[in-house]
Amino acid sequence: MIEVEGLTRRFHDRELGTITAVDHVNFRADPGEIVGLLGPNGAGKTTTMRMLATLIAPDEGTARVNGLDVRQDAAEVRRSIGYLSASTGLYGRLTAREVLEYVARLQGCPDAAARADALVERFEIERFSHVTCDRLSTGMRQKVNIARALVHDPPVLIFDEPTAGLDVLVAQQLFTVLEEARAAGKCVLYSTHIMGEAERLCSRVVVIHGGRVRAETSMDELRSRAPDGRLETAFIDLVAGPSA
Amino acid sequence: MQHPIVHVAHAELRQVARDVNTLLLTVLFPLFLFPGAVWGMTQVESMREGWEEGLRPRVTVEGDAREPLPENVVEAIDRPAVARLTWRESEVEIAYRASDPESVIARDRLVDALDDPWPLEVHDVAPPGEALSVVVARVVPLILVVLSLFASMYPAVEAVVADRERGTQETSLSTAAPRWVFLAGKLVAVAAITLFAVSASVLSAAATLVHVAVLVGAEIALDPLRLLAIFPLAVLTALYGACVSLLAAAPTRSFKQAQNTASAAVTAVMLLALVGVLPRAELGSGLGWLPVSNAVLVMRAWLEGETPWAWTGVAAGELLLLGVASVWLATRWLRPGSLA
Repeated sequence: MIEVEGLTRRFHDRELGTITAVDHVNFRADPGEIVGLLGPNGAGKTTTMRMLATLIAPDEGTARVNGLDVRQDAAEVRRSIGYLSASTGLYGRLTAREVLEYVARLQGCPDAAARADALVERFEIERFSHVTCDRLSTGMRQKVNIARALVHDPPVLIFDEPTAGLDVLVAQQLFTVLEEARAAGKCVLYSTHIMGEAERLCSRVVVIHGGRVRAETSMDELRSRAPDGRLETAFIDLVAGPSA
Repeated sequence: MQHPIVHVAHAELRQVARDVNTLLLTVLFPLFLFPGAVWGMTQVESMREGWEEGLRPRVTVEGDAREPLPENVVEAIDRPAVARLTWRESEVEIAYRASDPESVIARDRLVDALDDPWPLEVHDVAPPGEALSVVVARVVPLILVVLSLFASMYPAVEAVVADRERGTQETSLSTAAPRWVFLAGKLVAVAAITLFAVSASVLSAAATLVHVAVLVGAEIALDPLRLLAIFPLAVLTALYGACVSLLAAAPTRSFKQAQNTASAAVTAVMLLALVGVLPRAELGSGLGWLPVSNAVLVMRAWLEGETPWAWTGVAAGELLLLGVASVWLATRWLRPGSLA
């Protein structure tokens, strides 16, 4: 469902020169599984996800999402994914329901209004669905954002640190949504810093550091690499030392 | 030990000193504003003096001339005159039009040359309201251009940069709609706001003018249908303003930077508009290649009673072409590196 081969992205900075944020990355994620993308800050997780969401173009390599090439079929790739990151915001002067309907229309949903209504009910946001987004709390806003990512019922979900700033209740609701998505056969790529989240949700993990993949394995296998059997220890062992 | 205020001020100053936009506005702009303004005014004044010196207004002479015309005025033989000089037994009469700058220059030169010893009678023969209508014909196109730019600047900055800063651009761009759709949508919204603002301002200006004219008892010899005639070009000007503002905002990274860039673009276009209202500026006088100046001149000509169809087409074509080019460039700059 997600196949990444040799994906590379470089950035040019006046002071730092050329930075290879993602360096020939390979991994895959299949339908019906949640794959965790783990790595420290600046590891290249967000850049990888943004390339998969076709928000930035790769310099080298290929990626296929739902069988579609991110370069050749960018619009169809975007129709196939639900993308959520810390930087995907909501229109502050639109109501929660208006945002859902707007995104549903842009995604080409024939029944945009009905989809928006269904998600308002599904996420129990009826009470504030007619409140403009800039008046919502962080948690409520993230609920709307999650609903926004799911509004067109995509087969692939790409969630980049979606629990940042969320309280435990909203986070639990998000986990439930992702587990239901997995059960429904969707493919989920999930990036997080929080090992507990990864342990709860992910059957497989891709550990990335310095733009390179350090491990692509099952959660159980990764845990077994650590002397104490803890994911955190195994993760630290993988990313310790120089990043490149 | 230094007071914490010193540390705070030091950190703030360091921040400011590393911001190119702030430096431009707070250091370079004030340093160069006055010398630049004086230099500009000197240039305009010397241009005006040069124009006046080179000008030989044509004057019709009637009656038995008792003195030759001054050197800087010529007698109109086979071309229409801008003033009339009539010699009478006991006095000299000068007829001129206050609405025509060339006629006013002719009057001044005749008065200077003939005031002593001949008693002079000076008459303004322009129809009532003509002088005011000439001013209106110059001011209205300028207001239209300036308003279309100012009205579009903030919506454009809001639509492009604030969208990016809030993260809503990423939300939109992660949908299946192609990238150009968002810029086109923003353009439609900005143009609609601009058109509304321009239309409202023109209506308000017209009502105010009529009211003031009634109050001071002046007349305006301006056909209201002429205002309608320039409306299509005003619409295109508003669209062009929206395109320029979007182009100015597209490559910037912050709201403040966008405001600065858009302000600079607006000032540049305003200067072009000002060229169109200079006294010597005439339709087809080499200013046809300056898009905004040409549009102002065309609107001015329509308001002055002419019907410059060909130049209207040229001005419309220029505005459309530059508008499309601006949007194309803005699309390139909106999100470099992203996929269509």
